[in-house]
Amino acid sequence: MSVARPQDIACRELVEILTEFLDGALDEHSRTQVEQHLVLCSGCAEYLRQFRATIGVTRRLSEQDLPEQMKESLLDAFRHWRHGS
Amino acid sequence: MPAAVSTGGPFESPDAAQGGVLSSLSAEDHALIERLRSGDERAFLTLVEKNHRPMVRVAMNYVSSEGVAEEVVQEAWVGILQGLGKFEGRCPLRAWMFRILINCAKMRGGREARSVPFSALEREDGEGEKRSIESFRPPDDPRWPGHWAHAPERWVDERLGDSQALVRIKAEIDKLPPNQRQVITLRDIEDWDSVEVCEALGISEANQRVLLHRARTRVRQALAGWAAEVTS
Amino acid sequence: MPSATGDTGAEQPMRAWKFLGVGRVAPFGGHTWPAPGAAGPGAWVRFPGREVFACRPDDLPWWIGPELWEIELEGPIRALETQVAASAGRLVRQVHGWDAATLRAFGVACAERARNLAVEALGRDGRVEEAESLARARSMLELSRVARDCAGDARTRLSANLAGYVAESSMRASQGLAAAAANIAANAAVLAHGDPAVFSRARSWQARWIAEHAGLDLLPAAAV
Repeated sequence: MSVARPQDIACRELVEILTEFLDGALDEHSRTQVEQHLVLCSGCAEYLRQFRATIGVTRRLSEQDLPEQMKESLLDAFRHWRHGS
Repeated sequence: MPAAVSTGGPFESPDAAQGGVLSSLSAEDHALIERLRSGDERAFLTLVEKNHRPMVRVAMNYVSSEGVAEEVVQEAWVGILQGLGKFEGRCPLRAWMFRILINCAKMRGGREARSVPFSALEREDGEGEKRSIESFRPPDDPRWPGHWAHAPERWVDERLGDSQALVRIKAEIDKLPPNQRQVITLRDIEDWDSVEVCEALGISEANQRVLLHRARTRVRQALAGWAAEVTS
Repeated sequence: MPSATGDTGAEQPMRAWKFLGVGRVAPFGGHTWPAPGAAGPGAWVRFPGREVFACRPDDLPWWIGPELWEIELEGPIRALETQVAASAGRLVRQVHGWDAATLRAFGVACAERARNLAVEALGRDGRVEEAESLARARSMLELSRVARDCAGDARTRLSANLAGYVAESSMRASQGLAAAAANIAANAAVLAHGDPAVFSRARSWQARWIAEHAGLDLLPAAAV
């Protein structure tokens, strides 16, 4: 017999709804289930930490890489547009 | 190289109309459009730079190479400038810009398009599972069905500061299916919110979330594999 | 503390409790709660579009964490199954009686209760030697090992199944995972009595244990 109650969420289901959880898109009941599970389950607590950490590192990829040539030709287009041609 | 501004075709934005009255735009969008209309080159370049990578990413969902994607972005800018005078502001500026971009990309892509229907859910089971020892117990497990059999190993925070972590993540994102790559780029790299992404790409929140989740799951897994390598 | 079934609609602040991570860190949001100072409670925490959650005494076993704080909530208060929700909250004082040692002792106490149930059940089954070995085990680790040995035919015998729960509960208790140990122990009680309603009774016992051992200052009017 399962040690968990039937109405409790399992780890496999939890990892599937983490993005919804982080976006605040879960209904209250589901969100509470997730939170209660996180209190009980060190595995899922670690998984969530890693999920968040991954997003954090991904954010650092932000950099601007506009090729110089493109910059010049777009500025050209802008000037043309401004002068109504 | 854009010389003359064409009319019609992919540059006809859905909101083009007479008057160019800016109705329900945010104060920020409003100010920016005024600056552009008054010829502020700095404002224009900032806008271009900020949106360059997201626009290339989105274009790449429809064409076969990054080079072609950059050309599409260039064409889109011409259309955006052309439409700017008539832009009514019935949707946010960026959403409008990206719709023009997507129209250009679709026209350019044509038969060479690799676009994947957004409703298609990618099946990637087994792909990229290389070093994963993490697993769940089966549904018929007597004690803990569906719970961790092998839980994730703890990550050491310092490891994540390593520039190699960035390289690994970038590599994994580049390998994602285009529609997932598009969404994770806009949400997690460019820090757009859910609503902005849905407006720009014309997809539902639910779809967007599924794509984002799959992308993040793969990237986390790759990072977990990398973290395991580093310690061993 | 006003009884919290349904909206109290009360405008005066309600007192409740909240478990936080080390350093007053919110367990799911990750933000840090402002500390109370010499002048009084910490600043009000309020999120547009989001609520603040806290525990009535009976809710505590569900939300075990490293730090326990007394919190003041701004009404109206919404009563939920295992917590209350409010539009804002502020920390009043830390419950210093709840520390790492108390947390660990809580897990152990829960596992002990499960042990007692299993010992009884094994005895009733005529498995006297196993019952005695289970009763004799001293550390949580030893209890876990002994209980696992008794759990062999868990699929067919209730007493063996119970021993399996004891093994799981005590293992977690030995690792300091008190919340998990408590949850498993509550499920063991359900199994022992064959009645799902026992779960909330077990949780109530756990809540009283926490209130007593952490030294919660419960006003007479608020006794649960």
